[in-house]
Amino acid sequence: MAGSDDDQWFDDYDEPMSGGEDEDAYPSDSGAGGSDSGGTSTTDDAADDGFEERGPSEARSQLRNRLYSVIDRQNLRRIQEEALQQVQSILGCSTTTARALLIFFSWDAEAVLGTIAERGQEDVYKRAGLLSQSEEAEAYAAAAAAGAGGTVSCLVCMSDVGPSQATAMDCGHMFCNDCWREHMRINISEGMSRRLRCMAPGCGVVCDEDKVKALLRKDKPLLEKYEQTLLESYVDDNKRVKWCPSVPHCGHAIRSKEMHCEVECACGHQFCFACCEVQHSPCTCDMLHDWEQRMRDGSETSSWLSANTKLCPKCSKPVEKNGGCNLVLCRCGQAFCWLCGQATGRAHTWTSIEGHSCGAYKEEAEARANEAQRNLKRYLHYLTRYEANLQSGKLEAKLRKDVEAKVDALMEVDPSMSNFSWLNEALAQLFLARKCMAYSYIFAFYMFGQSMFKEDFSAEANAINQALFEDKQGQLEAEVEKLSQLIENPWPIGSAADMQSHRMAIINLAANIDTRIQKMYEVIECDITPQVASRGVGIAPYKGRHATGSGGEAAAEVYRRAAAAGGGAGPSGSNQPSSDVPDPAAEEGGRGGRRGKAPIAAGSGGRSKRKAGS
Amino acid sequence: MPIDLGRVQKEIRDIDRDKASGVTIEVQGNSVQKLIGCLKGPRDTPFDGGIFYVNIELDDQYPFVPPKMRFITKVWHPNISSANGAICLDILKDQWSPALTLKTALLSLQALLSSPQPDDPQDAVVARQYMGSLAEYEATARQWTQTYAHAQQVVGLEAKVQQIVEMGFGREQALAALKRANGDENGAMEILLGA
Ligand SMILES: [Zn+2]
Ligand SMILES: [Zn+2]
Ligand SMILES: [Zn+2]
Ligand SMILES: [Zn+2]
Ligand SMILES: [Zn+2]
Ligand SMILES: [Zn+2]
Ligand SMILES: [Zn+2]
Repeated sequence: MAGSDDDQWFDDYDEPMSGGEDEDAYPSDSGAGGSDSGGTSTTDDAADDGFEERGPSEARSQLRNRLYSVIDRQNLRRIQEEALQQVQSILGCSTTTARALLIFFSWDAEAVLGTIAERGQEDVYKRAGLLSQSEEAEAYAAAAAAGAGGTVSCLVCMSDVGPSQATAMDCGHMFCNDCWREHMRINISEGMSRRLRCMAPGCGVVCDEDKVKALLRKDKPLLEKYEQTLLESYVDDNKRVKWCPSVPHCGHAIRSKEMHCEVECACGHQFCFACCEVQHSPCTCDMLHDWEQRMRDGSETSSWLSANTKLCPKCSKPVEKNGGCNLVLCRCGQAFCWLCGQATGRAHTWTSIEGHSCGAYKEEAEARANEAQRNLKRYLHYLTRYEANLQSGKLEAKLRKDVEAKVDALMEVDPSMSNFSWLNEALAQLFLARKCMAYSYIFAFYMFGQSMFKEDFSAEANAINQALFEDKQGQLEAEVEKLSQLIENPWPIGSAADMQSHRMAIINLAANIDTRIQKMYEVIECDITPQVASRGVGIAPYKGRHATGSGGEAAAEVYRRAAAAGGGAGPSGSNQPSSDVPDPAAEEGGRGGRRGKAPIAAGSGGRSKRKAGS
Repeated sequence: MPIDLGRVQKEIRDIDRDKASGVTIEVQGNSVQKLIGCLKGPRDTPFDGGIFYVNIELDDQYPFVPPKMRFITKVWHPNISSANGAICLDILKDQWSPALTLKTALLSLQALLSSPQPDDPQDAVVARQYMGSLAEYEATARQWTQTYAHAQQVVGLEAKVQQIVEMGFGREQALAALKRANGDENGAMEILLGA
């Protein structure tokens, strides 16, 4: 009983957000699209399937709460057809019309139908560049009458053709088939398939898909390109869907309910949905881009800058100290004191500068130091901490190696220790926290800097916000450092009891860190950003390691289970898969089966039910 | 696919036949893909009395893509570059339709001379003047029409053509060069020798 819960949990943890990999797991769809998994639809299979939400099982309704889903090529066709059918079945219109409406409304079927209900069909059709149905019918009649007699005069090639050699679009405008084909060929080659319009001046009606396909039936490559572009319009014209920015492109797209959301594609690529850059919560996209610009502008590293340069009080450019004395000269001609940064005259001896005394440096000169200097100092303060956290995060691979050595040593002493999921969890939490910390410094730099949000806060309000935030940030940082040391320092491998408490300390710290991050986000989301709500400050929420949309409690529960399940003798057996369920991952189990952020797993305990590679 | 010669020739014939339209067209050299259009400045505008030449280039994909048009004659107008004659007109860009013709395009240029669209300017300086001081704009435009497009400039053209032909150039060539140089025979010679 507990065992099956744990299995599901571990599956979820191995592939935290990569829903949609296993399209065929749908009861209704399996068989249709050519299954690859060949696995039976166990509950666990369904749990892997984070995609489009149909079907009865509870696992699926939970998944519905996920903020985003991954779409692969096959999905793309299906969900697009679903949207088209939804609109068509209610409006009774052609596919072309439904598609034009959906493109106009960024593939939001609800918006199409809602706006039509609200403003009337005629108005919406007109705005989307479509004829209303009555006009359409009249136009058809006119076209038929025109073609009934002798020949049709094509206004494009200016020659007469038989009625069978000409085609009228829904608007009634008739041209010869050769001209239509050439028009389509040029527009499709230029990637304008989805807005292939009538050739008549000022008409703008979208060419009917069936007529386009009939006209192009002999040109297979062109027809394919046409259909491909129509298909991709679901992503290209859809604000809620974006192509995964992985290079080389993996072919997947992500659909997100929220613009500000951190997502992970089925290919493993993680990015910010809003700006498609690296994940950067809790700082906003704007903050990140400004920050990166700043880093590019000052190619010098922070330590070199702070040790070797000061900003000129006149032109604000960094100046390098070029000799032993404290009077430095900027290229702009301004002389200033290296110690306090103040502008001075040029006459000086080794110990004093004319008209200048900075003996009071510590007490008052600090306060008088010019603004540019303060700004640089402030920037360096945040830059140093940002880089330190990013750096620790980058040492991930090395730390994992270290830890593996410790695990090996431990297993030699105590072979009953077989489940190290608690350790994987703690490491993952540590790296996640490092990333949060790094970007929280960018957030703080801009949020409290009284420049980006100068108009939004009074100095007092700003000071309160900063104190609130830095309190939580400081608590988080302390816990992160503790956990880091517990993992890196030597373990009490000789003593089983000591090792047990060491393990518990790591598990507890990891859980604490998760809570601390949530607390920090609470300050951001409840105390700070509501004050600047009118600015639309978009910050992706903290998802934690196990969030399924139900918030932080789930994560704490997960840690408790990890503590109960992992390590030592006894309960570890409960993680074995029940023998009557086929185990698709059996052949890649054990230590060889790691991939990506693969955990340090000994034996098959805990994670054996991972799906076979996709 | 090469250009639809049949259509272009029909278009040229149609313009030639319709004398009342106020626009004419001539092939430049031996390819129908390079033409020179000509339109009269509309009445009751600062362009009245002027003759305006337009350089026309047809892509292989014409008429499925718009013709490239540029004023040869210098014009003072918010939607026409005073420096190089480039034109800002929707039907020469995204509003082009394959069922439009060179004649409709030239007539649209004529209409553009009558009714400038300063909200979508090609020449910001002219547009600013047009918005700021209409009288000043009209005076400058009239001045430019007098200087660069006045019919008298074109009078005596035949004599100049003759002069150039005697120097060993073809008649068509001479005509095209003179048009480009706004009737200035020295300018035309420079164009011919440079080309
Ligand atoms: Zn035709
Ligand atoms: Zn039409
Ligand atoms: Zn991807
Ligand atoms: Zn972003
Ligand atoms: Zn000195
Ligand atoms: Zn300076
Ligand atoms: Zn000083």
